[in-house]
Amino acid sequence: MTSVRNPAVRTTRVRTSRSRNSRSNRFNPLAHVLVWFYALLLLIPLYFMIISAFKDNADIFNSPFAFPTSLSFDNFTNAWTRASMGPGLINSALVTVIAEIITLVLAIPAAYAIARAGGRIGGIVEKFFAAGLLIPGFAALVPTVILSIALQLFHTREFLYLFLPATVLPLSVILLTQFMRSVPAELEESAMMDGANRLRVLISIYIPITIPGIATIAILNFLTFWNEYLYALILAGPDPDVRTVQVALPGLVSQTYTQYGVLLAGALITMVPVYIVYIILNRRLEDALLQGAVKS
Amino acid sequence: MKAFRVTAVIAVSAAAIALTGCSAGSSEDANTLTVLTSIQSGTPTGDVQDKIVAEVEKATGANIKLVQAGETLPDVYETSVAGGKEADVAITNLAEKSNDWVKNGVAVPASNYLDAWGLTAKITPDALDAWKDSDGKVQGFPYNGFVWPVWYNMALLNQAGITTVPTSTDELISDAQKLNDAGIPPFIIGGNDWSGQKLFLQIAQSYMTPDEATAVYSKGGYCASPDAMKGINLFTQLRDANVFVKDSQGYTADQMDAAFYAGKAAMMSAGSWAFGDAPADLQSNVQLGGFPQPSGGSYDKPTAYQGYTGSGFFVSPNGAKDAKIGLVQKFISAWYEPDNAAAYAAASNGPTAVIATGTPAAIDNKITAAAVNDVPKVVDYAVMPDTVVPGALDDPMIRQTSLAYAPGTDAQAICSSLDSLYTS
Repeated sequence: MTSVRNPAVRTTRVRTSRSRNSRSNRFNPLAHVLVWFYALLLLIPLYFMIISAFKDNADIFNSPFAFPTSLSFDNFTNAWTRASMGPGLINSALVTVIAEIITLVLAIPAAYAIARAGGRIGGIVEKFFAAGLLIPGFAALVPTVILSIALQLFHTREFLYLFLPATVLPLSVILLTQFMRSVPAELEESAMMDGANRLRVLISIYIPITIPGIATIAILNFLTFWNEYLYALILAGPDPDVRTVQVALPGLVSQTYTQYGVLLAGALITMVPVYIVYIILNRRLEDALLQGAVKS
Repeated sequence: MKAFRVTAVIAVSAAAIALTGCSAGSSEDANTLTVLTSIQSGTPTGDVQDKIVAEVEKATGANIKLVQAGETLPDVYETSVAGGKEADVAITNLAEKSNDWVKNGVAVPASNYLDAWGLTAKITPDALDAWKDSDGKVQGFPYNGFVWPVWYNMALLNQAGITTVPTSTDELISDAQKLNDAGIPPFIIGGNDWSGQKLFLQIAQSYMTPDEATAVYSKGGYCASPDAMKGINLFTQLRDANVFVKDSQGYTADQMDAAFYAGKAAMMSAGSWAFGDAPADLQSNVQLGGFPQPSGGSYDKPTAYQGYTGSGFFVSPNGAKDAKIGLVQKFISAWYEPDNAAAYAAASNGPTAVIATGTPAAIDNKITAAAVNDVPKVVDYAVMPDTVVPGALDDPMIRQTSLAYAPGTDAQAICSSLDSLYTS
């Protein structure tokens, strides 16, 4: 690196740098318009859902974006009772939490092993997980149903506990592997010199350092598990004791006349846990994204 | 240590709750009946359903477990049969997929039980005929029927200078022109779903005899049938004359209902299930009739649909088992008790298949009253496609008929696309 000895040159460079900074910080109306426009695009569906949850069909179809004339919670109570959403939320929570735990318990050690494997086998295993991404979800439906029947687990939550982690393991392992690779090998070496075994290294070094990555995976998996519909419908079935809230919700769709206000009120109820989890984990997610940005 | 114990108790409790999953389908317990139903709780018909369930539970001491499913009911039922976990009884309409249930062995024919349970004499013969398959087996127990007329908002027609409802397609085109000139959308229809499909098939059979319509709708051959082609040409003529509201191909039945209820269209085709939701101030403006017919057509009067396929009971292979069939009999028979049938007819605003109470006993709704008293005098009944079009073709046919509502799709393209469904 060459240092700048001439003060005049240094001043010029500083000025140039400040000039660049001030240019980049200058108010850019086009950027602001685009950002606000994008934010509006995201907010419109949410606004529509919220106001429609307080309306009847006539108001929804005839004045879709008008504010509701009353703020009665009848649609919410109707949705709650007619779709048995209470048990549905409990079932969804059970399925999501247990599947999440199983996924992380399997994915974290797998990612650690792949990240630290130096030989060809590690590469082959990583490619094996990557190949899992190529299987279209719908293609696995029939074999999965047959498997659940053969295991006597058809129309039970237990099969969802086992099946859902299998659907997200490839992406979870591959993403976590990248986070694990960012951990300096020297940390592991010094810990092992101090007598730590692999499990201790994983728990005390790798997991704390890769928490942002684990949080990212957890959020992505939470959204996948919570919003799962097709497999939950077919594998767990419609019984209120077993069905998830996403399967309960379409029970509000009638064959001849659907009350969309009630349906959208039910949809809003199902979204609440997603927002709560996001609020809890969003800082970790942002950390993970920033970590990636700094690296790049 | 205490913290560990508390954590362990919580973990074990959570595991116990998590592992307490019970089957969604038929219970092994002979005293429990699982019923998969499309009738939603919290609605007038749902209240009648709850009342009947309570009565049967009280009379038998059995536990009747209602499992509600909306539009997903056929899919849920069929996949549960694959796992041997289907409900003992399914309450749904006879249309689309359920049309093939007995043929495919996922439901047991009601013919096996109708006489033995004493229900044949209680059910109108037309209803039993409607539920027969091509082998003459009655597929399920018919219960709720429907009338499916055309609704005319006379206040809007009068605004456009029209004093009587159209009875010929020439009058319909002329009236649509007047309505469009007055800025009133004429005929609204859910071109994007089953309501549009039914209206298309109603118009397409204008020149066909009922037998010919049944043959074409069940086996195809639209392009090869001159009468079917005349009907499809009539449809495109009406569409191109702006009889249907703009962008009909994108509307659903729910949007159609809402727009008509709000006075935003002068005509629509909707069944008796929609009577109960019509606003009170609209009811006095509504006149029911049929769909206008062309000169030289097969029907003398405007046409409407009627049927008994609105809902009924299917007995599943699980329900037909010796341990369950007695309870199934008591549950289904209770629905045919005169008081219950009358209550259901009143709640649904439509006829039931029960002879003793064929029409709603107390008619407060003016539209329901018109459907019972006036409609039979002014319409002929067209062939109802629900039990004729093969179940597997219904969904793809709706996609094709939706395209038929799009301007620029000619009759040849429409008939070819329909015929391709039967050969693919």
